[in-house]
Amino acid sequence: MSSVVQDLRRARRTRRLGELEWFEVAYRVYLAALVGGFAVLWLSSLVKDEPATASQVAAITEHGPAVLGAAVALAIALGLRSGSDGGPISVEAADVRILLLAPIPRRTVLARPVGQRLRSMAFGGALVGAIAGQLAARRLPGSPEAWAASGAAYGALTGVSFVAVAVLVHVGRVPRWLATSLAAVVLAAQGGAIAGWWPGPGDRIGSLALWGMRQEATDLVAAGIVVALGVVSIVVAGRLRVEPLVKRADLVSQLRFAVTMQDLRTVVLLRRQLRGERPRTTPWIGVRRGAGDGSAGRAIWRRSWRGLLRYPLARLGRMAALSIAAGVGVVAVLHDITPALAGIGVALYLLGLDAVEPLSQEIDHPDYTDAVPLPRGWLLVNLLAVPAMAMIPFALIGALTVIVAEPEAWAFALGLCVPVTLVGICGAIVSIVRDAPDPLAAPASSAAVPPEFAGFTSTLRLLLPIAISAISGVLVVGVGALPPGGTARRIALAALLVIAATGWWVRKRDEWREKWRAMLDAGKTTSSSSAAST
Amino acid sequence: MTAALEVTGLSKTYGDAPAVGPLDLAVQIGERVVLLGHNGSGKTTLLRIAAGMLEATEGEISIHGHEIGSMDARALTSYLGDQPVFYDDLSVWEHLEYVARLHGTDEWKDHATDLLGMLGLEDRADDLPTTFSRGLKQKAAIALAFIRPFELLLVDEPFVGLDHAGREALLELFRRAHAEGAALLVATHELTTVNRSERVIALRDGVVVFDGVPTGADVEALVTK
Repeated sequence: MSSVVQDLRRARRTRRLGELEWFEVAYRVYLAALVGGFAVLWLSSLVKDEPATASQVAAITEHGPAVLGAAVALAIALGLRSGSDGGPISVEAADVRILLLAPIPRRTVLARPVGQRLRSMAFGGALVGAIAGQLAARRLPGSPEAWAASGAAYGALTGVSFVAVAVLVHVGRVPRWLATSLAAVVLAAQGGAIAGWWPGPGDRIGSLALWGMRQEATDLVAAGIVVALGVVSIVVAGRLRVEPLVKRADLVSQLRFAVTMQDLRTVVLLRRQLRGERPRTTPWIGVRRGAGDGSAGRAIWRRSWRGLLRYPLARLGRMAALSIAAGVGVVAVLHDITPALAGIGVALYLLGLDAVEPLSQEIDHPDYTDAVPLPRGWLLVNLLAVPAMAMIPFALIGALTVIVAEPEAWAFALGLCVPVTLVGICGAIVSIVRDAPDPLAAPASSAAVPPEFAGFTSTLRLLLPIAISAISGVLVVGVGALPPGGTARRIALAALLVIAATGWWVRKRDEWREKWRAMLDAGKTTSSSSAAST
Repeated sequence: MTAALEVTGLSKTYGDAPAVGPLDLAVQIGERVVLLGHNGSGKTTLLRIAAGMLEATEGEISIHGHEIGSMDARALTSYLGDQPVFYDDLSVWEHLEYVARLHGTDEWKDHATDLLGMLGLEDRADDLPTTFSRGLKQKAAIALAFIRPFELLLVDEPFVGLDHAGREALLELFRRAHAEGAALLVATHELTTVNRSERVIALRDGVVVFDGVPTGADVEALVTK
């Protein structure tokens, strides 16, 4: 029976290759090489050329394994979570219905996708590791080849760790609470290793990355364990559970489509479904039925709270983690690591996508919104009030993170955490409102942008919301750049301006677009009547 | 005698929401059973668990005495789901060949031709089923369910989107399968199928509320409930 599966796969592969648009493939490779080349050049520009001093080399030798091991620990933690959520692989819906329900060994069907996942993660990790190794060679002792090889080995093993752990957790049916707890323990243990308290679970693989300048035989034991786990994950692939594969088969195809369409919000929504994240049936705190004076504003207020109070624990935990990540980004920016402002922007953008759920729900159900006899913009702005209030505890979590790392920055942290967080979620608001089904959208044929610029505009569409969220990081940079007197007031004022502008845009967007369309239509009518008269 | 399908203490929950159970039932070899119930009563969940696509939260379920999901159980069970699923890049004929060969059927071509003829798909055999309308997709899915040998047929709302000829063809296929000794468990509200069945099991909120012979009065009441 295995030969039947092999035959079919071979036939399908041949057909796909035959239907491939080779010019399109070449164009994609060209774009990837171009973007990749620029990224490497940019990274190179960040690395100075002077050789590291002896004390710096000693510090890297001492702390490097633990710090680099953090990526391995993170891969293990992500693997634990992914496996408990039914990952790390997905197969076609037809494979589930036809192959997995057929009387053939499931390993025949599933070993290949597991192998492919291992291969792609190992290759991606090796590529990143090799580039990083090559950059390290410019300042550290050792040949570039040795650094690239050790970096590649470190990256590949990190990728394999993720897939192998996920498969074993999936096969072992480890419940999500246990997987999350284990992930927290792994990360905490590695954190302790970075602090120098004890050895961490990722230290040995992290140490492998330094083989460009020094070798430790014990690292090979860890590498052997990871490789063995990878092999075991292929051997046990046949025991992967069908139910999660059914669920993932449906969602992953939608997810790929959303990624293709660069629809970040849909990607986030589908990832939530992939994790089986659902609103709680019973809210954390009940909102009294029929409370309030019955006005539309009160109805929106109650509706918003009802939605937020049904957030599952997992989402609240993720929001807290994103707040902490934003706080870490702020600390980095305060230490003059300016690129970290992008990290703040991304963390707060993702936090915003989670936070502005009432607005997302209305946007996702335009039939309800459009049937309400109220201006759409007014309705949408009012849906932002409760999420903005609900952001306060998360802003404080971010502030607390900053205070723990930089106690002397407590006044800035507490004073500015709320406005900076609200600026951060503005990007998510723009993303949600802009990507909503638009009753005023112009037909594609009348788009003002020529097709040649479609790629550029779609990239801009993708990055604009994150850039808006990154303004929060710029404000933090301003904390260091501005003179102390009145800095907080100025930053707060700038934040309020961004928040007000976003709110005003949401409120007036439909009106502006309507006027714009009317103006374009009037222009067309005039030009066609002129053409008719000549 | 071992039942074609035996369910003992079965329950399934999604998070904190119960979907099915606790449920105890058995479908005997060669028996023709209709599963009735309103939306959300647990019909699809029960069928998907029996097909091995969902895991039971508690309880046991076996096919001809074999553990659900085992190779033997898979060889004996054909599942026709409520949503047809196909490969994007295979024609109807290629799907039929593939499924038949996966189930070890070498002499499948005449059977495939017969099935396509019954379902009115003979002219569409070389077309991709993913490009079909809902009704044609359903017909192609029916052909896939019947191209392979089985002892237990699990069917979920099979008449959705079917025209009159398609319904008649499906009823004839049910009759043939039954005549060959297969057990049928069909979730439907289609009255002809309900009336032709030997037994009706009605579910409400995941538990059995009726299990017996479909007299006219029972059927009307159960279908309209």
